[in-house]
Amino acid sequence: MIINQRVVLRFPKDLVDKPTISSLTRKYGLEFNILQAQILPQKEGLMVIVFTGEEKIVHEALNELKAQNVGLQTLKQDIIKNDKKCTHCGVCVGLCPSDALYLDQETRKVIFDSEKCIACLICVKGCIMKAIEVKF
Amino acid sequence: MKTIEEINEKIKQGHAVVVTAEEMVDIVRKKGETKAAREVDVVTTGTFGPMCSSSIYLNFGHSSPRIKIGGGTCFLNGVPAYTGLAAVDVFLGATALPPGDPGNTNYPGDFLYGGAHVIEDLVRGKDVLLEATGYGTDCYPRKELRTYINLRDINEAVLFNPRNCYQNYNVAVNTSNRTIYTYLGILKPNLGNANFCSAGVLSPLLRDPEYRTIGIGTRIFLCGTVGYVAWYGTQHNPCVDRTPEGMPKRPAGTIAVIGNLKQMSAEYLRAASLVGYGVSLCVGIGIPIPVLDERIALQCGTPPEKMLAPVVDYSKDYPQRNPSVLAEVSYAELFSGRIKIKGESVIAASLSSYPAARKIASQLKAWIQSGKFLLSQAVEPLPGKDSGIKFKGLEIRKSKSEK
Repeated sequence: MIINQRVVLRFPKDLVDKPTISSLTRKYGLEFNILQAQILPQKEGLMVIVFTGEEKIVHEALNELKAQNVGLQTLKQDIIKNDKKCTHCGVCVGLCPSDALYLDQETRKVIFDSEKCIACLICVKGCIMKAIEVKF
Repeated sequence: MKTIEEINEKIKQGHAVVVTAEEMVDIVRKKGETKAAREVDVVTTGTFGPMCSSSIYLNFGHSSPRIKIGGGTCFLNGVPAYTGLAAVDVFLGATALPPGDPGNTNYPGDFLYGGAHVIEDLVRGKDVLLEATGYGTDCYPRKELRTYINLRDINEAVLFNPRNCYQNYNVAVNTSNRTIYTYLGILKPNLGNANFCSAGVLSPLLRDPEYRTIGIGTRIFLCGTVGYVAWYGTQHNPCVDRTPEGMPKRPAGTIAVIGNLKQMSAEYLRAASLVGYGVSLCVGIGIPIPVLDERIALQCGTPPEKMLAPVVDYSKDYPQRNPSVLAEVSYAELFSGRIKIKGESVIAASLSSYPAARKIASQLKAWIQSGKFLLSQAVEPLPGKDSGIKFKGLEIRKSKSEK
């Protein structure tokens, strides 16, 4: 089954200048979409990436990354809407480019569908209650 | 015609028919305003959104020896309070920022802590750091003070908001090609999104659009407790164009409200950080409207298709004080999630929480039905559409009293 696996990768200093991702995707025949990439102040690399491919193959590829000491975290746990802070105003719904934030038709409360989130982080900036939290 | 006294009698006996404004729209749609005016006694409204012109005033009580903070300095959790009052009376505004706050120097700034956050911290029962200085007098010899205070220990703590409940505010868009950061949120370039701030059919001043019942002394729901309309708000602008139902087509009336901070709940009083703009305070207000005659019933039940708001370009028209309006859209369109501007479909979102507005209107309905909330007769009306009052701009000029 073809899956889209969104992960947050942390590259240790010694891997930052190596073509880890391009070698990996070529070896396993995966498609990929980089949502974010940056070199952090301590010279680590941070990348938010979506791998598309056969489920078994994607997991093999991720295991190889782990074996290379790349830190791995699935995106679901990285961006959350803190429902204690959210007042359900809905201003984030107008900002979200991927329909991950939307209003329940009946209650008009804001719902966050992490499956659709592409981690652009505009909602984090736009939320006036600072209710959207980033954990990576 | 009913009177408020009659309605209050019914409330005391538990017979009053109380509905929320959402329910009233349905009632008027099905039965018409004549029947609705006979059957319904009170319509409740609610709103919960950022209202920058909000503040508290406090009295700390005197330390030993006494200090004259009035004319000195005062900081609460690092946020400056205004000290131009008596010895231990201070004002703290919602939008005040600590001296070290970078503002927009690293644009757009985050504005994570300001006056509104101190107000919320107090309401949540947290200890707040008070640092004050005074120049010292014979009667008030102390020159410095540093202590923690708590809302339950201090004397008065009054929420006083010079301007709340803006009637029919602008819908903001951005026609430029770069993102802008405003009090109506982040606006994406090239009509990328449209932001408004209104509870729509539940909005208090949109249900009494001509201020026939809401006036000075009106008893209201304020942040979880009972409060009052103290005055008309700043920028109160009653003389705008209106629909036949009396609905303003432009930003119009405002109210100043007052209440006891010690009785308030953080559920309805929350600090907000608007990126690139500043700190604000979200205030929860609900106003009951006595259905005294048919016109009030009609206005309480006006459907959202007949309520119109102006779309304004915040990239150039608003900042340059250009009165241009790009479109007029109905609240039905706004609440559908998309509006049409110059033929384009634009996503529309609110900074005002509709679920919270619903909760407030329902809570106020329950208070009235339980007999513990009586309606008050306004002592003085708000200036109306015949008052000639208009929201003027500021002309920059030389002094007229110089020779």
